[in-house]
Amino acid sequence: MKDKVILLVEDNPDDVKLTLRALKKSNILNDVVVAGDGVKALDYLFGTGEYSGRDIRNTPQVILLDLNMPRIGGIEVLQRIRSDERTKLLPVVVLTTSSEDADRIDSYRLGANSYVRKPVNFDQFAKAVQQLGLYWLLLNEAP
Amino acid sequence: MHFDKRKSGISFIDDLPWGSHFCQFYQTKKDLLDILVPYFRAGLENNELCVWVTPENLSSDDAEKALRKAVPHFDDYAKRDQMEIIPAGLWPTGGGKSGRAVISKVDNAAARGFDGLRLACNAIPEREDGKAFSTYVTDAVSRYNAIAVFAYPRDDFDAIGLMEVVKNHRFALVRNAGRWEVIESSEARTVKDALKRSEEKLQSLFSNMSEGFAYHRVVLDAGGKPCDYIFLEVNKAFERLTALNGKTVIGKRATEVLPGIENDPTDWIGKYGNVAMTGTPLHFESYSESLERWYSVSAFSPHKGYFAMTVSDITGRKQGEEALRRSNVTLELLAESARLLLTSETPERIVRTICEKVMHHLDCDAFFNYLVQEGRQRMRLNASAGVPEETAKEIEWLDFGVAVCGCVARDGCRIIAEDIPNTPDDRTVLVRSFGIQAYACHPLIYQGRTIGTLSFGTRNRAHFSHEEVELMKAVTDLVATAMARKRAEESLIRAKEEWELTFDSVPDMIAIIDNRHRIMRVNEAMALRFGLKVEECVGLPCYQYVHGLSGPPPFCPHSRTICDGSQHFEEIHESNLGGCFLVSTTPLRGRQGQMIGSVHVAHDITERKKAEERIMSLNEQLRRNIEELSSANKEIEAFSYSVSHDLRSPLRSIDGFSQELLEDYSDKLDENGRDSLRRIRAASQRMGLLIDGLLMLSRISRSELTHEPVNLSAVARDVARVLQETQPEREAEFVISEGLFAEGDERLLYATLQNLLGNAWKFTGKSGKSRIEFGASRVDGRPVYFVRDNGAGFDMAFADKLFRPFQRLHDAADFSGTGIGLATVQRIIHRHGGRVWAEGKVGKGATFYFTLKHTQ
Repeated sequence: MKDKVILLVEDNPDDVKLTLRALKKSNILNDVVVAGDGVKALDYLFGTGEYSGRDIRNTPQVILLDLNMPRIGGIEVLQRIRSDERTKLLPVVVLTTSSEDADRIDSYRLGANSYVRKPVNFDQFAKAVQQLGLYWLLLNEAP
Repeated sequence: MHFDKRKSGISFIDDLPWGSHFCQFYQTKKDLLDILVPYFRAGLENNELCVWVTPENLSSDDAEKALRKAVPHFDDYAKRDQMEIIPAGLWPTGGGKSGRAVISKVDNAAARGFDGLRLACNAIPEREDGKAFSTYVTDAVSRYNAIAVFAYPRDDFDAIGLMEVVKNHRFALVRNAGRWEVIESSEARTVKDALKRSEEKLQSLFSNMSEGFAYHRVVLDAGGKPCDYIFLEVNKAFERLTALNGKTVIGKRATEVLPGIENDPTDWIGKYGNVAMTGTPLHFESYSESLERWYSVSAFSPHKGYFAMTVSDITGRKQGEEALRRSNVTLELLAESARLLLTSETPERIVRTICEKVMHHLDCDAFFNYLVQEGRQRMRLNASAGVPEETAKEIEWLDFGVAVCGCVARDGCRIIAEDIPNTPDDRTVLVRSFGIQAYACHPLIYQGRTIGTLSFGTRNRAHFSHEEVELMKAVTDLVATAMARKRAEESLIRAKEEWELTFDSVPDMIAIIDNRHRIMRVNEAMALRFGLKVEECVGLPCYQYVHGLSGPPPFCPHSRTICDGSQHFEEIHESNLGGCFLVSTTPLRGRQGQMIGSVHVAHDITERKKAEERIMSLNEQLRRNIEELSSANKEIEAFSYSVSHDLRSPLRSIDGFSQELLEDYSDKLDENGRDSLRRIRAASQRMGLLIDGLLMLSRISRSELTHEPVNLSAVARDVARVLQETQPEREAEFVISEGLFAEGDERLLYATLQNLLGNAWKFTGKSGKSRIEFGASRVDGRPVYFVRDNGAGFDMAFADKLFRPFQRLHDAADFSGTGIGLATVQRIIHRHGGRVWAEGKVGKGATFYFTLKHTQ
């Protein structure tokens, strides 16, 4: 289980660093692959672009997906994941600053497994990440 | 024709009627004297002119001697020339001449005032023109007031000749063996019997005829002028009609029977005398004051010097005629009154003229015409006569129930008061004081309503006849009708004027158009638009003036109306009239329901059209504004989105890395550094809250509302529970009314109560015991919800600032908050069509009220 990676799709380096710190504080020691935008995330998942040749059967344990990103946004990434046989069962947690209803509803409609709003307060953020990590990495049985 | 009988004077011969003649056969002088002396005596004593033509064997002197001896006062008669003795030689011998001589003597007798002629003459058995001498004479005698004896020498006749003579006379006297005998021929007897029967019939007729009949002889004066007349014969009817007794008047002179007749201005004697002397009949009608009767009199003269008169009582006819005349006068009076009243513009004023005429016609002395004052129990004297002006002023006003007229007005029934001086009655006190004896008052009634009274009074009699009262009533009815007609006419004119005024005041252009599109009438507005006078428009073809066309336009609603008889509308733009019009044509029907045209009303909708265009352009503007607004909204949405992401992310970094510093590098910082980091964190977190609040506010504005029943009481309880759980240690009491329901968006209403109750919770945090109340009262039937607390309260001077975003009335140190909550509440309430306001006082708590759109 520990060899499974967490795919963090996040364009904001601050958020990447804070997320990693929160995971670390929660004793989640899985490798974290960071994709800076949707394009990179899809390249990783489908072994294209800079991840060309990667064994894509090696899927991440969970995908932490930001919505608001340059090039390909989170919603489209989610759509692509869910529409591909190889990835459609991957657990996707939408992790976003947006509290827009539309985003939340779209995410769930497209098959997001969770939707977490990133709080400003880091303590609360850390707590949320910890709970997510516990659930998706330790408790949840992968399909 | 005359019926008076004369004494024969001969003892064995009855009285003889005028016209009688008989014969005497004589042999001696004594024979003649035996018969003729008493014969003439009777004549002299009965006012007859006596003429004795003596035969040769009797001298005039002997005759006169014998008469003087036998007739008392003979000289008086002789002096009067009443007895003429003419020797046979001086008397015409020819039959014709002799007949004329008789007539001359008869005339002379009449002229001299004698009743008639008594003749005796010798007859000569000669013939003239085949007729016996005596025939001429007897013809004359029998036609006039005359009697005659013809003396025949006995010895000149044989038996046959004697019989021939007898046949020619009524009878003959013959001395036989010393005795006088009367011989009548059977022929003469037959004639006599027939005559007698005829005479009896006549006599009976004369006696029984209803017309009075009298026969007179005129008496002439010395100059031959009629100066009197004598009653000779009267019948029963005459006696009855004239109240003269035949027995006492016959033979009397008129001057005796009717004293003063000779001085009567009518000159009866002269008139009748003229009839008798000239034969010109006279007919007249006369009234006898003493007998109070009318007579019709016809006088004629059967022969000179005599006149007969027939008199009939025509009082009945005269009364009928008089009644007819009065009735005609009455009718004329009524007709004239009706004409005056009905043609008068002011019947109230004409009443005086009419009533005065009626008053005089009725031989009355006073009249009063009162008119009821509209809507009051009071009358005013309109016209009167027969009382002094000051009196009329005193009785100008009369209340209902006062005096005769007041009672009539009150009861609507006529009153006829008669024999007033002797009949005590409170009501007649007033008219009695005017000396009136009989008084009749009729109500003027129009359509069952009493509009006044009309009364007549007389001072000269105690009663009115039925006809008089009827005339009063007829006049009263006329006056009432005229006044009512005038009033009706006035109200009709008023109504017409009002209608015309209205018709002309209507700003819409109205034309009444006939079936041939000709204008029958227009109002002022229409005429003004045509630039014509109202009366100039009549007869013009409407299409020509309205549309400037030579025939009705295809859209003409009038054509459709006259076609189908129903109302039509058309909106037209007519530059001739200068604008847009809504034209309606309403069918106009005659009394039999036939179409006679339409009422064409053009309502100027130019302004309305302009307004419509303005509205349309405004709508267009609005639509564009909405589009702009919605694109602005989208921008705001995008902005909010970016705010939520782009503004929060750096904050998170600030907070996150500050935390990292505090956690990982705490030992490298002094306390001041750590404090700064904590402040950075606090500030960034607070900014996060502000951004969240802003987002919330914007979401409320943009999100769609749901409408569902919301149990506000339950929501409040839930909010209160959550609040209490946050600080279970606080001593706080929530008082929440039960059963408060509203309709709206539950999520937003939840947020409202969360904010208001949250505020109350927050601001009561520093008071000892919190009391927070949620309830509702009803104002104008609508619920007004409130949240009341006993907390810090606020200064009402700032009450209007409470609901502005980021506006805070309290120090953040005392009470935390973003200043967004009440702005959010206000927005939610406004979106629910309600209103929110607050009342409070510093340190005394606050109450927040809100309403929601009322839904049924």
